[in-house]
Order: sequence, then structure tokens, then C-alpha cells
Amino acid sequence: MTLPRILLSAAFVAAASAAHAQVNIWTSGPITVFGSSPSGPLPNSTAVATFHQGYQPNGDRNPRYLDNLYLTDVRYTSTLEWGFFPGSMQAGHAIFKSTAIVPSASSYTPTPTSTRSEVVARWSYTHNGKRRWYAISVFIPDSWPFVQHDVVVGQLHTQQPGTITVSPPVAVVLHDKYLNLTLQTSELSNDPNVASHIEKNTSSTQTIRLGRIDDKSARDKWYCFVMQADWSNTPGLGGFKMWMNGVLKYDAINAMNSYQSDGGNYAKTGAYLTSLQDLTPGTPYTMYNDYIYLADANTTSENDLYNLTPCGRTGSVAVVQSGLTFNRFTSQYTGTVSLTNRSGYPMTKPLQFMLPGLPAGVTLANKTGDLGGAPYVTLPNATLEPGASATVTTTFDNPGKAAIGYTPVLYTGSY
Amino acid sequence: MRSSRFPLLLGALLCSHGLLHAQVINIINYSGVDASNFDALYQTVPEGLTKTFVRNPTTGINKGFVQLSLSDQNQGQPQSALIQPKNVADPTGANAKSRWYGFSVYLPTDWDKNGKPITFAEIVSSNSNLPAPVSLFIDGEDLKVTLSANHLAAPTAATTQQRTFTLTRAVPGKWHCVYMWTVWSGNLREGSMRIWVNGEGKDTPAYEAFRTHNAYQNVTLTPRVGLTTKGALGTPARTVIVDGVILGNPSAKASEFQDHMPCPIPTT
Repeated sequence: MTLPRILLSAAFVAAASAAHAQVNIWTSGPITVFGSSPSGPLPNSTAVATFHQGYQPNGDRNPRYLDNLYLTDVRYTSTLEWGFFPGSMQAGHAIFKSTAIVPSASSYTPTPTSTRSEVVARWSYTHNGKRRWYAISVFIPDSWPFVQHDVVVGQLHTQQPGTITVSPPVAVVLHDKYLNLTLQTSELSNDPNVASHIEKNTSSTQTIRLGRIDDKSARDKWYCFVMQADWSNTPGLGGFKMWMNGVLKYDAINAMNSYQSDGGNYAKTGAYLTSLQDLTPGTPYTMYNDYIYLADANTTSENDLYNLTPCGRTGSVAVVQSGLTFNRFTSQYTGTVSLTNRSGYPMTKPLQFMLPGLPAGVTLANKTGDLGGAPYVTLPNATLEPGASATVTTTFDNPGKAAIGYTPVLYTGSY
Repeated sequence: MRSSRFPLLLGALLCSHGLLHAQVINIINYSGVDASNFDALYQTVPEGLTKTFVRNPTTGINKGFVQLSLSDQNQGQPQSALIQPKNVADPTGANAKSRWYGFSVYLPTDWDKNGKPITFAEIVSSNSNLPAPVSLFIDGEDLKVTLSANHLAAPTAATTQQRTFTLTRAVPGKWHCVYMWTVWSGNLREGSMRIWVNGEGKDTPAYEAFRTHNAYQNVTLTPRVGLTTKGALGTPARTVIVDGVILGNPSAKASEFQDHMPCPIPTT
């Protein structure tokens, strides 16, 4: 008898040793409820501690409410959804669907010049003089409507007084067929009463091309940005690094990168569409966004964050597949799959093990259901703690005796 | 690529004025660098460097390119094989005018991508203790740039800001063309730069910066092209073929550079 073989992703195992201890999972990352906490958002002063204390390691469910981790900013007719969308397979969980829709100019006074559908990492505000790590991930669909204006898909923005308007210190921007990084900074005061204060048209502005998205192979794809910022608005001080999809794309030292700010810099992702006057009302600009991840200054490797993104997530779950045995009475092949949580944070119920890419003629006999054309099995575990493992039994009908292979995916949370 | 190539006006300017950089009026009738004009237009760094004049390796026509080589025989010491236009010393700050530069480098088909990063073009300052404001280099399969600047009145290498990023892929057997427009400044919120690669049009620079200091105070700047390394090559030898440095005055246009460099011109 020739045993069918399981294709084992080497990357799952190879990346399993990465440490993630510095990622602030209590102030960023996944949500399990796309809504408000019944008790309201946690107060600033006690948020992290309260959130942490509220977590019950042995609880059946530990809700991570949207409003405890993120603020939302949805303008005019734009929409923000959460669920299973293109890109969820790689992300391994529900993601945000951000749709910036061009509003009708005649419906609003004053006439809108921009619109947005964004989520803001609530606890990401960081002052100058501090180091902070960020991860923002964007899935650009094949249907992306190219536009000759800036569509900002991720930002590290600055909190400023109401009368001060400046561009974000860091922005990831789609412009026509290009994906760009824009950087803005100034050493000037943010006091509007000071004659020479920060303004858009006096700030240093740089645009660096990160890549092109006009080729079809560059779309229906995640772009994952890990950033290390040593925030500074002092000339000659500060640093900034950005990795895109695991590759260092920009590295600055002794370079200021921020503005004077009372509140600090914060991260957000979504679709921010500008120059609406040139666009057709009703036109949707849809993309998908993963959760924002934050990490402390003592993080030592960009991989701590990268492994949580859809681009590097293979490192967050170690998968070990057993061989398959053939049962001559049932004519089925059975094996087990061991899943170990290497992410450094708890993976919460429901946990679904998905098997996309099974060859024709091979079906999963013990599936819980199908999602996006692929079978999945729901794990009995309520929560998979960091370092903990769960085992899934897989039973296949395979009348054609084909080689059994698939791409293992562990989904966490609802979708 | 056009069969006639004409970057800058170096020779004529040398004859009429001492300050060449102030006299460049535009990109005109440049026919490449060869044995007949090299000594009038260029100097080598170091002096007396062995150089070979060659044809365009991708077309076999058009003389006017220089082949330069380095070997790893000097045990990892810094070394260079450069050509540098004579009498080009562009000012920064209040005296700066917009200036164009074009650099082209051909990587031979046997280029070792596993060697250590190596610089193929620079714009250096008159203060040799400071990093070059522009350093173009090959790092593995990427063509990268490091931009260095310092706003201080007494700058040091340790206090100089440096920004490094990828401009395009580095491909053996192909020309790589980088042209840039600059207004040099060592003062905060002053200075501009645009960089294009491989013949892309004026509306699609790979990098642009405004109100961003990009040099040092009270220095002059000089472009040069060829090989430079601060240490070991990581491979037995390096050889490149380079074009002469193309310069342009404020009225030059991106399309002129695009037309006169040995890279394919994109159709889109």
C-alpha cells in the first residue's frame, strides 16, 4: 500500500522558535467582538491593567471588544465591516473590510474633500523620545480601482491641537500603480500662537517608492509593514525602520521623524481617500486590514511582530502532521495534526483548523463545515494558551488514492 | 535608446571659465567618454588608475563607456576605482541652484550577488570626514541609496543623519541608470531632491523630498562614478562598466536624461 502523504510546510516549524514576549497583546491585536463593551471603553488610566485582570485564562470566552482596543473613524457614506473576507485565510482570523466611498458633494456642507474608513489603535499614543514598534497589514484586492490620488492605507499619525493640521509622520500610500512610504517631520513648535509653528507647507516631506501593484501578481496579496520608531522632533536625533513583507525597506538614523505633540503618535489603518472633487460619487474603494500590533521598546527583533502578521503568521502556529493510516474497513485515511501556539498571546475560541487546497477527489470526512470552499474542523479547545498544543484528527475519503496535500490554516476567533 | 548620446557640456566650459559648475547651461552634444577626451574632462580616483574604454555591452555600438575593476587583493582595505568630472564643485545652501546628475552602471553577467555591498556612484562633499551626501550601491539583488546630511555648523560623521532605502533591483547583464534633481542644503527645512531609475518618466520618481536638508553647510559637492568599498569585497574581484557623469543645469528636463542614458525607456 502506498500511503498518501501530507505536505508539511517547513516554514511552520522553522519559525516556531521565535519569541514574542514584547508584543503588547493587551493593547493591540485581535478582537473577538466587533462592537462595544457592555461596560463601556476602559478608562485610559487603568486600561491595560483592567484588561489584563479581566482576562480569565480558564474562561470559556474572553471577549476582546473592538472599542477596548480600537477607535473607529468612518466618515460620510464610507463603511467598516469585520468578518471573513479575502485575505482572512492568510490572516487566520476575521479581518476589517474598509470601504471609502466617494460621497455626493451636494449632500454635505461644507463639501467633503476626503473620506475615510479607519481603525485607530487606542493605546498606541507614544511621545517623542520613546521607541515603539508597530505592525500594520493591508490586503489589496485584485479589483482595486487605481486612482491618481493618494489613498492612505496605514499611518503613524500625530496628535495635535485642533487648529494645527499636518500630514502624518509616517504614511503608507497607494498612488495609482505605486505603493509609497511618505515621511513628514518638523522641529517647529506646535503652539499655534508661535509665529513659526508646524504647518503642512513648512514640514520636511519625503516619498519613497516601496513597490508597484499594477501587475496582477501584486494584488490579492497582503502587504505587511513592521516599523520601529525612535520618535523625535529634534534635528539629528531619532530613527525609523520599516520592513515590508519581512524585508528591510527603509532605515534612518540620526534623523528626526515627528512633530512636537502633546499626545504623541498613534497608529491607524484603513482607507483614507483624498481629492474627492476629482472622483465619481458613489465609487467604493475597498481594501482589507488586519489588526494593528504594538510592541515595547525592548523588543529585539522585527520578527516578533512580523510573525503575527498575515505575511509571517506561519511562524505563530507550529504545525506537526502525523502520517496517515489506511482503514481497510472504512476505506478512509486517518491522521492527526498537532497545533502549537507560538504567538505569545492566547488564541481564543472558536478555533477552526482549515484545510484549503485538498486535491480533487479527496474530501475531509470529519469536517465541521466548509468556508470559502475549504473544509474545516472546529477544535474543542476554548482557548489555546501561548505554548499550548491541541490535536486535531483528520479523516479523509480518498477513493482515487491521490497524494493528500493541503495548506494548513488555523483560524482564531469568530468569522 | 538613441544612437547619439549627449549628456553635458564639460569640455567647452572648461575652456572659457574657471568655475565650471556655474557655466553648465544644459545637456548638449555629449558623445561619451573615450581616450580622446577623458583627460580633458575627467580624472581618476586614485590618480593613475587603469581604465579601459569599451563599447556598450548590450548593443555593441557607441563607444564612450569606461570599464573599471577592483580586486580583493589588498586584504579588506578601503579602495576605489572611480572617474570624476574635473572642476565640478556645486555649492549648498544660499548659493545652491537646482542641479541634475545622471549615473549609469552596467553589471556584467557574472556579477556575484553574494559579494559585500559596493558603491558604484557618489556625490561627495569637500569635507572628506563626512559621509557622501549621496551614495548609490549594490547590496545583493538590490540597488540602494544612502542619503546623508547634517544641519550642524560643526558636523561630524557620528551626528550625521543617514537614510537608506532600495531604488530598484540590481540585475546582472543589464544597465542601471539613476538620474536625480537636487537643490542642495545643509539647513533645516531646506533642500530638495528627486531620484528616478532606469529611464522612468518625470512623474514617477522613486524618491522625492522637499524642505529636507540633504547635504552640509559650507561645502561643495562633486559627483563621481565607479567602484568604492570601505573594506573587503566578499568576492575575488568586481568589474563594472560606467558612463560618464551627466550633469544638467536648472533648465534641464527629466526627459533629456531619459533620452541620453543607456537604459531602456519604459513605454508606460
